[in-house]
Amino acid sequence: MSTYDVEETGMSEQQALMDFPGAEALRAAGRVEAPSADALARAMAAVEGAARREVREGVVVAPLRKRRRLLSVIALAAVAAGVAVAGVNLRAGDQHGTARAQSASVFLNNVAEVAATQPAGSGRYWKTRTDSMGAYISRSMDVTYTSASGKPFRKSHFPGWRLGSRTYDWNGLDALTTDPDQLLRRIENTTKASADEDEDAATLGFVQASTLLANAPAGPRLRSGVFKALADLRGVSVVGTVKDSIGRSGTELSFHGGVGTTEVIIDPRTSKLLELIEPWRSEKDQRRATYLSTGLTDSIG
Amino acid sequence: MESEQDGHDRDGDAQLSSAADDPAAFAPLVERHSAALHGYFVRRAPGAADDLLAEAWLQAFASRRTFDASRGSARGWLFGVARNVLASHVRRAARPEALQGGQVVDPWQAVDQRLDAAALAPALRSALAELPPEERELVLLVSWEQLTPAEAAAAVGIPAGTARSRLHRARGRLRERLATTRPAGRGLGVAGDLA
Repeated sequence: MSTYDVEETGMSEQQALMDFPGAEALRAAGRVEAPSADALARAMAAVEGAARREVREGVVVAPLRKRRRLLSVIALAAVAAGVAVAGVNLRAGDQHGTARAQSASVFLNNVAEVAATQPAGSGRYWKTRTDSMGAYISRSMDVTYTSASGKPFRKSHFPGWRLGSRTYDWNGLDALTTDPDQLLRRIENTTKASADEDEDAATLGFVQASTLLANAPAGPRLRSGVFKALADLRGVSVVGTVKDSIGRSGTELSFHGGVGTTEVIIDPRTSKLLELIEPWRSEKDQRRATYLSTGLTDSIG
Repeated sequence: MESEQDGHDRDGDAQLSSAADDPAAFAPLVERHSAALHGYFVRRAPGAADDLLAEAWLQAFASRRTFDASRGSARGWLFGVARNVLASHVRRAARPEALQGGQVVDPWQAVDQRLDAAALAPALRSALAELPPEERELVLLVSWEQLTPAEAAAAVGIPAGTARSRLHRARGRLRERLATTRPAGRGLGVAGDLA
């Protein structure tokens, strides 16, 4: 369309698309006065203040936090799919006040838009790779594990991905709502009944949503919806720019649940979740899931 | 200032990219884009434009690392931030306590009031009102904010091809709707013959 119009008429693409009766009158109706000097000064002062705070605060080492046991799908999925899971000493932000919560909301809404425009891709298998092994999940939820060289060594059934109190298989993810409000309700309604022993239900909800973003074959609209849902979830704050355990740069968010802090590192340019660190059985026993690569493929190995 | 004939502000892209690790590099963007962003807010939330401009810049600064020049221009990204800020403002204003204060909660109300005040032809005004909201938003982003279709797509978070399709459909609807109202014998063109 636009190529034809532009080539045939010599118009710019905008002009061609705005070529309807009254277009000029419409454009004229949008004319406004320039902002006042005071409005511009306020905007500049707001940014300069934020820049000063960022330089002043940076990222600091947090004191030991209360840990608690968390048995969730992240561990199940991470281990089953061959994602690196290891003990780690955690690093966290210094504060999680209103400003940081607002920043988290803005950040996640922006990442949601990045996620929405990521290509969906295609393929028979959902692949998750680490430096040591790979996992290939089919629509029927059969999973084939491979060595680092790509040689299959075990087949099994993949248990699925959880959100709220339900477990979804691949087809279930395709049918899952992409509405952020509905997704948020599912995350917030993660019940004690769906948790294990002394798990914190709120943290479980956050971890499950993060896991779904990290290693599930969720489409761009679903991933975008989950990011938007997390943007409205209470307890999420921005820590800052960090490097994950293998040196990749990303933005770290933390979720302050009832009994501890969970951290995720997201690559804002791709919306990929690089790493998730959660409390485990004790204060000294943290779990880190590092996602090296995920995506759709037609072949195993 | 635009550095390319296609309207793509590559200087702005480079500035926003460099601001990811250098907060001081962000300030020139405020000078460069504030008038455009303020205009966006004035047209849709006239009573809160100054506040929303400051909020938009704060949020743009906080999330500047989500900008990726390979995915679109700084200008499109900034309008995406502005759109989120406006949406948050509307959500807040839609709360019962705010409604009691008589706030306008739907940006389209403000837009329509502006069209009315500008004495836009009733046929065009109603034709715009009848457009699907997602098409109307793109039309206004291109017409009023002077965004390219790709920038408008980035602003609303959809692929550029989808934006072009919607703009094409919107143009078709407007032409069809307005063709039936125009006086016989008058040509249709970019000029505002319905004004």
